[in-house]
Amino acid sequence: MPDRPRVSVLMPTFKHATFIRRAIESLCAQTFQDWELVIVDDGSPDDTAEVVAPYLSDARVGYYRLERNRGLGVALNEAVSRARGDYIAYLPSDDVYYPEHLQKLVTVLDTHPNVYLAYGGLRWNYDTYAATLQGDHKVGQEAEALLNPPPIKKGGRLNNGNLLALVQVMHRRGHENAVQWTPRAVEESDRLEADYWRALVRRGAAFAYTGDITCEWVDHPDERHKIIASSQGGLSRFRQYYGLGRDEPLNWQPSYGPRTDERVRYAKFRVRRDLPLGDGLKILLVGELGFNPDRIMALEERGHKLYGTWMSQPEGWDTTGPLSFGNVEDIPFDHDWVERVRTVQPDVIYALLNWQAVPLIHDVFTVQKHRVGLPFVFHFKEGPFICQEKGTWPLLIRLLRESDGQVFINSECYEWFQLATDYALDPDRTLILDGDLPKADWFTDEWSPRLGDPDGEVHTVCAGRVIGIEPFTDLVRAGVHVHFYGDHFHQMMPNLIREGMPTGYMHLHPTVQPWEWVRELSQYDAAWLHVFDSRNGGDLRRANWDDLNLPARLGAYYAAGLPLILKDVGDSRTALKSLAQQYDVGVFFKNFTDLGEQLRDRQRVAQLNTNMRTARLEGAFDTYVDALVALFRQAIEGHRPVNRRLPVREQTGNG
Amino acid sequence: MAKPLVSVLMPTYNQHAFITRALESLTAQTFTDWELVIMDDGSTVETRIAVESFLEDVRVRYYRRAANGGLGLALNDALAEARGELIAYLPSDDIYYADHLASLVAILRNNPDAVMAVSGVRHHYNRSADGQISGYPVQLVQVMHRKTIDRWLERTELVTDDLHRMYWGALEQRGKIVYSRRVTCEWVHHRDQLHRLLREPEGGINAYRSHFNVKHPLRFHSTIGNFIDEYEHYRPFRERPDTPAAPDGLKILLVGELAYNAERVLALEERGHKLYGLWMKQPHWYNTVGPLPFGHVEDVPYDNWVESVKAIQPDVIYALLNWQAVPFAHDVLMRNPGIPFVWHFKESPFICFDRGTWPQLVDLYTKSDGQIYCSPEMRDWFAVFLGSALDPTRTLIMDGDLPKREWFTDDCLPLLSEQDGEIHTVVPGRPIGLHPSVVEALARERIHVHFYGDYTQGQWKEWIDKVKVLAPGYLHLHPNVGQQYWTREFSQYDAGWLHVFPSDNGGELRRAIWDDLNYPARIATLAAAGLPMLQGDNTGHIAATQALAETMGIGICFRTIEALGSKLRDRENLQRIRQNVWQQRQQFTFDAHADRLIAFFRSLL
Repeated sequence: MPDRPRVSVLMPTFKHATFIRRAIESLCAQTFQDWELVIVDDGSPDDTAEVVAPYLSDARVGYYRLERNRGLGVALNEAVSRARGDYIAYLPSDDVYYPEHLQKLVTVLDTHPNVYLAYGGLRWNYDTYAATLQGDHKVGQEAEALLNPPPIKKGGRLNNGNLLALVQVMHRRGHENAVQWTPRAVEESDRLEADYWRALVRRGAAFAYTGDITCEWVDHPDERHKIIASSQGGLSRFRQYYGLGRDEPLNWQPSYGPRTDERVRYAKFRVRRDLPLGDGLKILLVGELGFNPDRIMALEERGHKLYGTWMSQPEGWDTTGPLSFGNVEDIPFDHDWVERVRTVQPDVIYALLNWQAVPLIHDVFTVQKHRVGLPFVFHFKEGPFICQEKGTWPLLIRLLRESDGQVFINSECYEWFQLATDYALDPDRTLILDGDLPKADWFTDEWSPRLGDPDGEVHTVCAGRVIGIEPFTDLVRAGVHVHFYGDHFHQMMPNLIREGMPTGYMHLHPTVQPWEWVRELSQYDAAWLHVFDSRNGGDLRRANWDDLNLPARLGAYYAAGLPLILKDVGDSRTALKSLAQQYDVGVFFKNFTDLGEQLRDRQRVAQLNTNMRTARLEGAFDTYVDALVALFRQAIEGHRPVNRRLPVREQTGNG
Repeated sequence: MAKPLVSVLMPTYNQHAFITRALESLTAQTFTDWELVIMDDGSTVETRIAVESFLEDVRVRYYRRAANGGLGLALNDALAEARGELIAYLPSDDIYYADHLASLVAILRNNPDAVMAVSGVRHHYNRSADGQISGYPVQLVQVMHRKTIDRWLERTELVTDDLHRMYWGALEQRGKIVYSRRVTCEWVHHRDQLHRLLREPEGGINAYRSHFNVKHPLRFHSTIGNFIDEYEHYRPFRERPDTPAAPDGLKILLVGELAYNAERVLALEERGHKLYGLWMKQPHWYNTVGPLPFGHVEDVPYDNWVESVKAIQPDVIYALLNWQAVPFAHDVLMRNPGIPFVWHFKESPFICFDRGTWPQLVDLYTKSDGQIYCSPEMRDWFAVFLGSALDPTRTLIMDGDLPKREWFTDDCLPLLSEQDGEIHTVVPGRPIGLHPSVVEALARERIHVHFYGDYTQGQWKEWIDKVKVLAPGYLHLHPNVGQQYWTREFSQYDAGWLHVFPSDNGGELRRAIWDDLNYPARIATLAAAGLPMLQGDNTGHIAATQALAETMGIGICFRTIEALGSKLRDRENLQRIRQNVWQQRQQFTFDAHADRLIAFFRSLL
């Protein structure tokens, strides 16, 4: 083994076969050559090993492979433990050093013994040049910048408060025992890097800038921080990209977007079952599950066996497999899909749920129709207008017309589609069932006393995105308190918070988890949905999505028996209005003054509250499972298999 | 049967997923004295199936044109079938609200001197206008008018999204327009709306041609872009007979899109090679796809192309050119039934990073049989990603969208500078790097800037306003110039502008950005007129255009505008550079490289 190198360059890598050559080449081209390269391949499924192989003839290059993906934190700790150099530098496999990068960093550390961490400036976002990710003006104020990160902004480019990308950093050793990279077992977050730098700062580490831009943090859509916390990222996207199995629940803590600890959230649904039982069906789920994905456990509880073919690139609220609960077996939509499906022989396909999944559902529909011929039930929520904008409307219409059963989220949606297709849908093959109702398990009996009882004030709650609750001062005048739940929703409404907090009528609470719904939310008098005007005048042809939608937060309100606050929309038809009228659970207001008066009518509010508690199981998925399975069975009976001798299409899969 | 008062015209093309909603909204009208003329403009059978149940209503008539002929023709055919005295329109993707016809009939009744009634309209999902939507002509769905002898402008005359130019303008001459000021219909917002297909940059002539599979040349002028007349422009190419196949002629399958100067590929056909085209879907405006307006290229249908390609057995697949084509070219590469595959890529790897198509692009470089780079700098930039996968024996350097030599004419005009003694320069496209303060400095040096292109001028309005204030009299705007006039028009100028940008890479390839690696398409435009090419001096950096200009002695690099002024006043030097450009200008035609390209293909077979 060669002598100890001055610098250990750590290169964690995952699925970067098309990038990694440039990264290594840029290291080889350094003016400073006393380095070793520690590549830790975090279980790449691509040909990374093959691409790296030629570089291993250089004795300075070491390649270590983790058998499965264990996360960037673990990969970095693994790399640190193998590093033998005096200094540690980082070269993520999609990034680039310029030739003088190591030289400049080494010089700073060699000549400034008091400096623990040196960094070069970087290019990022294609053509942004800066000393730090927060700009040039943070030079010399690194500690402050890390300890007081800038406020999070909706649509912000970098909301995790990071100051330094890995690629720009070189540091001494010495804090390694005290400061480690946060492993996946603790949490997955895009704050990983910022947390590490912050921990160094807290131990007194001094940072220094080299004064030159010497590397690039390369911008592309599959960067980890984007997969975690951008608008195209999210938990399911992360689980898919890194290929996590169902035995790997995550403590999911993005800097922006909903957070959840799957280990807690799904604890009760992580039981092993041998399925199907008795006359249980084999059901192939296709697409994505939206919110409250654990509801499908109601199908497993009834003895049905579930399989999943999931859309790729799910966005924040599209839940796809690999799921960390239940016993869902995944069948990826690839070249083996038809063979796998023929082997499994599902009884029915249950395709769902939102517009993002429509292209995949249509592809599956087409392929299975020609090559397998399974009964196909299609459940659609949001939304027809987005499909028109995205150009997938023809696919949507075909799925509705040609599937064996259709599920609509409410009567208004059903009727809207009947108008759009001129009554082409057979009412005997349809079911009304909201798309992402929660599992009944969360409908506990842990009722809390009403917050308003002792102080005589009116307390309302909003557990979702805040739409139309303004001007807040009008609510204050009407004497209505509002309790806003959900950190990531607070991030979206800085102006409203600035206006509301000084009034004493606005109260912020962290995200309320399903197991807390009843205990936490039953304190309130009534609950906010989107506040919107409707102008359809009772003609559904004029409806927009607000008129047709049932927001996902309804499930929590049902569970907690909360009356619904809705704007009076006159003679217009909306799904929420119908629902509130059906169970008599609505407070329909003309303006906030009127709302305050209605909510102070304790007798009326108590009646609405009783009505909602009586009706609340209408908001649980379990209530409808038998009807849904009946629709499956009807589709199975009514389905005529296609003539298998027909010529087959030559291509399967996404190809 | 009595004549109805209102004839509702419904032109439709492959909108079976929308048409039932339109029809249902008509049958729900409170006003019932209408007839409906559905003019199916060559749709597939699904449209006929979708309307079937409505044909039981005697008021509904359905006509189908065997082949798609365009909106104007379909409307003229429908007008010929209309029996009502009032005409209304219901495009098959739009909808009426229940009182739409009633309210328009009422205001025409109340205004005998009005020829046209316009309703309010909902648009862009949730917006509405009580008359004309700002930025758009009055839309079909919101109009009812008296029947006249006017006819719609047809596709063979002009393709445009300007309905005023197509019809309303003629109608306006005959009487006044009245407005209901009530929103009684919806211009349904969706991806495949005709105006979106027509408007640059996501739409445009190629998107239109591709969507309707128009086999003839077009006269095209959207409300956004430049006027294009393919009839005249390509006539000499189109009307000549096919070149007989050479004994050793290749069958070449073009895949993807050809971008600018697409007719260059005829240089291959002129050499006795047979060309086929398999084109990407949803091209942006400049992604030229077939059916090609200059002829001599046989299109391979997109559907089931693998079978067609197997039947043709091309000798080589020549896949190209810009980032929009990467996903389709990749698809063809991966499903290619064993034919030698050559990949030619221009703009740009950085966009592929951004779009997430970088892995596909790397496949195109590493799994193809031959690769063509647009500049040596580009090849070297890729080399660091490709390592040993870049095989020099399988690469070629050739720019991506060089023009055909026919446009390099000899009809030069006298220099403008000889008339007024000042210096005149030309910008044939975006004035990149010519910030208003730069133009101000140019004016101080008595250097004029002539800016060409209506479309680009539309995008640079603010810049133009500022420059007019800062450099009065030194900015001159000119409409777009067709290729056939390049030499003549631009030869009046002393020099032409390339992109002006400060390189920052210090000779380090890893630091290069797109400007450093790219040859802008305008190099050939300036070369055609023999113009010295102006660019900022990036000595010490990797800059592809500067390297090229220095090697060939065709450019003027400058550090300051004052320095540029004195260089341009050195008439003798300027003339020498001009002669250099003129003598070498054929190097900027595709024809000059065609044999080299064919030899490259053969080397891979």
